[in-house]
Amino acid sequence: MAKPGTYRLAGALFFLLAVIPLIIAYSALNANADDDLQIWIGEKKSSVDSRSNQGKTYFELRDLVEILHLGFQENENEATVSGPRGQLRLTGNRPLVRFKDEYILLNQVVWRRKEKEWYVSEDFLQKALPMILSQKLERQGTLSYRMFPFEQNRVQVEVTNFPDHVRLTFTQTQNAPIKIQEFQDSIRVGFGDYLVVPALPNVKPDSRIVKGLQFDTTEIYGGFRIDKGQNYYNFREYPSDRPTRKVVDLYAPPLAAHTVPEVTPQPPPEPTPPVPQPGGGTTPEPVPVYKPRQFGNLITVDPGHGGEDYGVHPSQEDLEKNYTLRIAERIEARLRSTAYRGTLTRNQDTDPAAAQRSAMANYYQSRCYLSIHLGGAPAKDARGPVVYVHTYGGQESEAHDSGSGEKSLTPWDMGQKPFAAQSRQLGTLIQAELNSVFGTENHVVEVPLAQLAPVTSPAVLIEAGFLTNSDDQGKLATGEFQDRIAVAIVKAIQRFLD
Amino acid sequence: MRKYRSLIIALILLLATGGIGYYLYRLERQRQTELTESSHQNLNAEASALSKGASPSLSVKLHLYNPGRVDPKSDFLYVQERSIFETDDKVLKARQIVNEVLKSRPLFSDKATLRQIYLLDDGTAIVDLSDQAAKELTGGITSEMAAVLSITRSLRANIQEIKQVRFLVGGQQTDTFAGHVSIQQPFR
Repeated sequence: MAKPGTYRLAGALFFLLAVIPLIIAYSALNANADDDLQIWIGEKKSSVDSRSNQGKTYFELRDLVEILHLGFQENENEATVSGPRGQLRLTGNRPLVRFKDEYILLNQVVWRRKEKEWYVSEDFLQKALPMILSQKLERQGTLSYRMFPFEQNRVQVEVTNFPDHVRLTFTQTQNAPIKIQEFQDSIRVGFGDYLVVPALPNVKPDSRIVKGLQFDTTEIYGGFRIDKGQNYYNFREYPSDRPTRKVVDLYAPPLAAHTVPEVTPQPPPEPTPPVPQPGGGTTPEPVPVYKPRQFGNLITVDPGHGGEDYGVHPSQEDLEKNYTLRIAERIEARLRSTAYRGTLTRNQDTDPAAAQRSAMANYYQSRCYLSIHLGGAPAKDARGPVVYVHTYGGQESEAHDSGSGEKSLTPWDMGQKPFAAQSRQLGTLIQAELNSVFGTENHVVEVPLAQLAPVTSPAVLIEAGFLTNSDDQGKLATGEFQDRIAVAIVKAIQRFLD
Repeated sequence: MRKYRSLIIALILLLATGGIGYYLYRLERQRQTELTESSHQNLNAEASALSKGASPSLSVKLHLYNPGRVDPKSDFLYVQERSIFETDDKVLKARQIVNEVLKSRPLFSDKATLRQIYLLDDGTAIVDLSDQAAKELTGGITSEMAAVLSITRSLRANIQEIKQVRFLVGGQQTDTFAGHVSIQQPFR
């Protein structure tokens, strides 16, 4: 039997080694109980009183109002908190806060303890208050917030109306994540936690597809609201090369396009009546042939580069993107006096992604695709037009072929393969016509070009002269010479297609 | 002794726990140190290999862009001999070759750098260039083809094991080198 002293010693040790850590852990877990909330504005720290109600922590609304310089009005069981960007309406014992026409749901009800004593949960600071503040209230840690001035995000919206869809291009000055959400009657576009400064377009969208486009102040930091028109069908958002840009195409139903010359598809053949067989059976009915809708004699012309992508730019005045747009517009104008029609992948200073440009040509089932560029080379004596066609040679092809004769989907970058010979033919004709204009003897060049690889029609990329060559640059600067280039290209197209 | 038995047992347990914890901590520190030293060794190996000789003594043939040319099939590149430091390490040799090609002015800007080269067993060399190497090329398609082909041909001409070259820009696999030429497939 051990002496009492031994037991006392063991007990003391047990207390030291077991109980104290438990006390410390318990205290740490409960450190936040009945702790005030801290708000930092610059170097000044202010406290918001807290109180417990039915096991939940609440913070005094009057303290918040005072610290953040907001307005407060009470009307029996309702309170209004006013800020620089709007008002919040609270109702006692309800978890909903109203902001304009929207409701914000909180985790806990708003607690009206007594007259002029209102308490709110912490998520009121995260979900509701930011809607009306002119500065950002950011959570720094447990029960700690700090006010920051907003970083502004200027968002410019551009509208391009196409025959069967409306394209909206959002370009922002920050790298905020762009979030798009579809609702029953609208689509909302949000821009992370930067304060949005909108620049709405001068061009109105096609009202049949997009009824309205407005700045949406119900987004915490501002956003855009796209109201669906009666002909709205669906939308697609496209990734962009740059995180500062997002393109959203809103479509009408496939049969709604009517402004592009269209070939009326032939009706499917009448099913032949079953032939009775001697044995009493019948031959199966032939399957009607489906003929896809065609856009007619459409040629897709792509003005290279655009927006922040200047292309070759020997000086700030000479930007490749401007020349390509002018030349492309002249080509489209010249095509109007032929049996063909041109459609541009851009008609403003925007920069659709390469995949979008290729996809447009495929969508319109173009008779051919021209991508207009200007050349640039390290040596200033490289000059004249160069027409490029895509090649799969010189590189190891990693495309998979089923080899079994079954029909399979074409990999995206193998779209051009069946058209390689036609592309070379088209390229040769255009090169010859342009050589006549420039007085050069350049040849068609085959290189692997990402933009041409997916195109499912004869496709060429034309460098209509070198901006790095002073002779070419001088000629290209004149509208008359640009027109001669357009005439030569259209002539070659007619020879190719006719 | 008996009356202090509990105390002694408790102390032993305490020491044992503390000892195990300290050992695990030291183990983790050692692992971190080894990782750091390993990466330093790689760099040191390159530095020592390059400083073996007093001066560059290995002759290599670089395929460089021929100014004024636009067609890759027609005298697009010309051959120039240069000297690099002798080394048995193929990766170090490849690095020096690419660094020499990147000195081509005005094709590449002076901010163009080689981030890394990897040689795979199947003969593929993966060349990872800095963003500036691609974005600050002077010119359009001609410059992109010149950049890609001069690096590919220079490597293949001097290192037998290299059959094809894949390009990364800024450590990323991109669709194009600088907006036009597709680099989704390797070059030969």
